[in-house]
Amino acid sequence: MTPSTRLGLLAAVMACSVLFVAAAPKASAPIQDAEALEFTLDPVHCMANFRIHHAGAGMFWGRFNEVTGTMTTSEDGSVAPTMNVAVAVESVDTGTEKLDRTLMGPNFFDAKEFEAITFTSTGSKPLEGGGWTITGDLTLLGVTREVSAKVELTGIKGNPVIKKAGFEAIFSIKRSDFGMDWGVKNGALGDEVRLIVGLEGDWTA
Amino acid sequence: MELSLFLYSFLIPTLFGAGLLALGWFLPPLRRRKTLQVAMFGIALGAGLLGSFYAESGLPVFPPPRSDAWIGWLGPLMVVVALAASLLVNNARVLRLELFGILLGAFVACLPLFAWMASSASAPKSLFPGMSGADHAMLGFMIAFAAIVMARLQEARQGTLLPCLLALVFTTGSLTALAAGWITMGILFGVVAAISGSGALIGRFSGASGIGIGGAMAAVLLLVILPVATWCKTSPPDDLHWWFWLMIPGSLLLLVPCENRWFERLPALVAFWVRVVFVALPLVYVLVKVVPMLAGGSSDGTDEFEDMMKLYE
Repeated sequence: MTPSTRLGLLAAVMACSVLFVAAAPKASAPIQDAEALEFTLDPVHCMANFRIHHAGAGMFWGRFNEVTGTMTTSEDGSVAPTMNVAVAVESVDTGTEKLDRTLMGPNFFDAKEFEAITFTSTGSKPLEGGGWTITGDLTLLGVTREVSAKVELTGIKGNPVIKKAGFEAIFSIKRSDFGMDWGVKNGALGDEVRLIVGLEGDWTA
Repeated sequence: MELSLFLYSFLIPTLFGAGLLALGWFLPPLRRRKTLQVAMFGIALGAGLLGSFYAESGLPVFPPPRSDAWIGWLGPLMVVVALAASLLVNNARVLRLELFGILLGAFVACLPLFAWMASSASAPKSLFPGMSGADHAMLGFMIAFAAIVMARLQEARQGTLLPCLLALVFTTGSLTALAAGWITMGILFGVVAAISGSGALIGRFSGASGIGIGGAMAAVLLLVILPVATWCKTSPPDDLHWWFWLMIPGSLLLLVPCENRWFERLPALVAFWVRVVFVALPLVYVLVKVVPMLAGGSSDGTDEFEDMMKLYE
């Protein structure tokens, strides 16, 4: 082997090494980062239900029909999701038009001044037996508080081109923490509100 | 209505306001103070409003975090305006009535600027949602105009007529606010209606000369700001038109054509009732439209069900 051939071989080996090193970090990156998919929420199949104690007696249910935003999770849904969700206040629906107007009014959700309720997740912790506790910032009536929700994967399905993922999140909040305290002192309505949010999102390659 | 809500938000503030008015108009040491006499009705309305707001939402903070908190500030403002009008316009005659009205309108229109200066916000927030700069100017103009008209009316119509009519106007406002979906505003309108009604009775038996310029100026703030706030803050039914909120306080303008020689020739009691009927006519029209909204409006989903069934036909 002539010196020039040796030098050529050495250069080729070095070039291959550089290429290998450059490619290596990509291959060894955490799976969740590499495969995190962003799902756009499907407003038709998303809904936010709320439940509140009425007059010290029954549990009253209502819902918001317009839920939009995004969520991310891994391809198989095994990684804790992140969420960025907005609920349109004017989509409140109790089945009674008069009550809807009252809920949209300044005593409750104040729809003219605060058009949306938002939630942005900031962290998560896995739960024994599946699911996660997700913490995040909930903004209601312009007041932002950190809250946590129990989140479970309800399903993930699709193919390499189109996927659907579903989660259910259960929040329990005190509405007076956000300045919505009408009826709390006189016991007309409870302070604690349970929010059950059903989310379904679409991902397209 | 819950008993505690009725008690703390309505009855106690009403008794507080009416009690203040009774003290001011009956107690001899207070009756001798002319400034207080012409301000007392406004002070009673302001105190009642603040009391009811406190029971509903606590003390108002400045700058208000939400626009409905301005309603809480209206109570103290009414007390100050009633006293200022009595002192500056009526007694000392430092300010002409027209100038007082314009200053009052300008002050209210500039409230968002005062709140902005006291806050760290990058831009001023409108007084109520959706109000533009032109809307604020219009609000100021309406207050100035109403102040001048009301001051003239209270001069011309002393006695129980104006408190009676204010009670009718505020009662209509209360029911309309409830139909629009704002419970607190319905209660606040109810409190000022009840204090106005009490004012008519107290005035009748105490011999007070009327609501006075202080009372008129305080009433103007209620007559203009409460309807504007309710319109801007609620999502009313389609049948609750914006001009209902113009008709309710505007009905008092029908007293203006009643100030003529023909009315002067009528017996006092007949003239009183004719004036009441004149003002009540537009209010009755509003009530006829609004009361069914309070009673009904529920949906059992039948229409949606029928629409769904049509898809399968």
